[in-house]
Amino acid sequence: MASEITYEELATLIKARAGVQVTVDELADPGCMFLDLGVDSLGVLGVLSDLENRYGVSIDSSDLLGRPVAEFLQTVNSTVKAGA
Amino acid sequence: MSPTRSAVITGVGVVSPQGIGADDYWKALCQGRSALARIDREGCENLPLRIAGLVRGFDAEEYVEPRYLVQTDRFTHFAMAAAELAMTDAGLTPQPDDPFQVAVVTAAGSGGGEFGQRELQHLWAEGPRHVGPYQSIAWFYAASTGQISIRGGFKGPCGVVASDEAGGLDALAHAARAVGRGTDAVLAGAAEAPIAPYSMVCQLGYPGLSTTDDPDRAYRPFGSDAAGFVPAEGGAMFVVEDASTARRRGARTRARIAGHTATFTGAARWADSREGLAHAVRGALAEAHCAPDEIDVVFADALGVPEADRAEALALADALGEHAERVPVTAPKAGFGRAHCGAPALDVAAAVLALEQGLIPPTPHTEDCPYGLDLVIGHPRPAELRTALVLSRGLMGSNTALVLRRA
Repeated sequence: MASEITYEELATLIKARAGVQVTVDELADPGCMFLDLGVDSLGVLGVLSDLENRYGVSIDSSDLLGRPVAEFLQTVNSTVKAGA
Repeated sequence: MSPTRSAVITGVGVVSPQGIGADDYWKALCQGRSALARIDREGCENLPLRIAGLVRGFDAEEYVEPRYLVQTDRFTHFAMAAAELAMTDAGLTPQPDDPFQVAVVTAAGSGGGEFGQRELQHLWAEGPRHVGPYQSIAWFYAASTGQISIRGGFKGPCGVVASDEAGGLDALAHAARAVGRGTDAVLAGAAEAPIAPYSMVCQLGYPGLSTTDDPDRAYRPFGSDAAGFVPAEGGAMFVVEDASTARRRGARTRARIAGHTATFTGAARWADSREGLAHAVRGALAEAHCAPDEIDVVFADALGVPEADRAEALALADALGEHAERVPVTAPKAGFGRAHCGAPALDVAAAVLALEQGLIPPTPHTEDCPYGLDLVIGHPRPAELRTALVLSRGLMGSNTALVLRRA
């Protein structure tokens, strides 16, 4: 059963896949963008494919850098929920 | 090179089996120490290549920020560390107000073999969706130029030289030309990390590779018992600057890049490399306005394959005449191996220090030289050094000569 992915888990994943240390508060800020955090497109792609592999789902990868992180996490969680 | 602008080296950064940082490297070279050892890395134990020069005690995190670490191979870690050391040495800092005045030029042949192998293992073990996105850039031989440029914000005429091992010298010539055309400073050099299972297998087909299992006998260039060469990892980066710009900002000039020529004579055709290398030496001397007898020391390519060693000695005789019998010749890399494109870059670092110190580091391991050269063996030799000639040949046929003058 897939459970909700938290900001803590996302922060851990960003550190592992993109090498960038971020705080939960930064991620939860509604205006926070990946590029502002210093995470580039390949870094976001690494985070995304990790989640896809873990939950066996295909997540909408359009406009990853143009969407706020909060929105990204929302998409991830609704996809995982629908796919579970 | 432009008559009004001339290229000088103001910073030297070294990551080598003989130490990290130019000072440790130089100390080890002058002691004639050997850093050759059995390869003890995981996955490398059962390959017929036993001896290499390994970089020990290198903590990538000390030089490279985490966000670059996750997306780069060890060869880029070496290049980024060497670039950082060279910039510190030169007192050069990123120029956010004038990013187009600084460029980066590197050479590499081996690429990111360790990173690439890891991701290919993911591919075959788990499938394409498990290959990390940074595979797309980390294996690439251009990665080091890209990452150094991104980290420092250097937006000048960056480049990557793909010209075989001699590319380590060609990168410096490329930098000198960029300086001649108006760029203030160029970070230039080469670093490689070819001692990982996949990269090692790629080298097994080289006929000149030494498979001797004794670190003392594996690589004895110019010796009567030469048995081929051993690979190494590491390299060197330099800050190459316009002389007057460097002077204006109060930077110390460590050496001048005076002349360069590159030729090509075909893969592993060592007898033919004689003519190509001689032509390269003549061209480099002409550009440097340097007479053959002004060369005070030669840092030889020193492949350790008898046919190639003979060709190099004959090339020196062809290009320098009788002076070839008198000029001291050395190959410090005999003590730590050939880091492919990084090898001639490390030779340039040694040459810069030799010019400064008036001391020629010896050729470790080699005990004799049957080719009529005055090979410096045993101990370092004090000498008045004003001009150094650095030679490099690639296994695929490139031949390059670079002339350096004392500052």
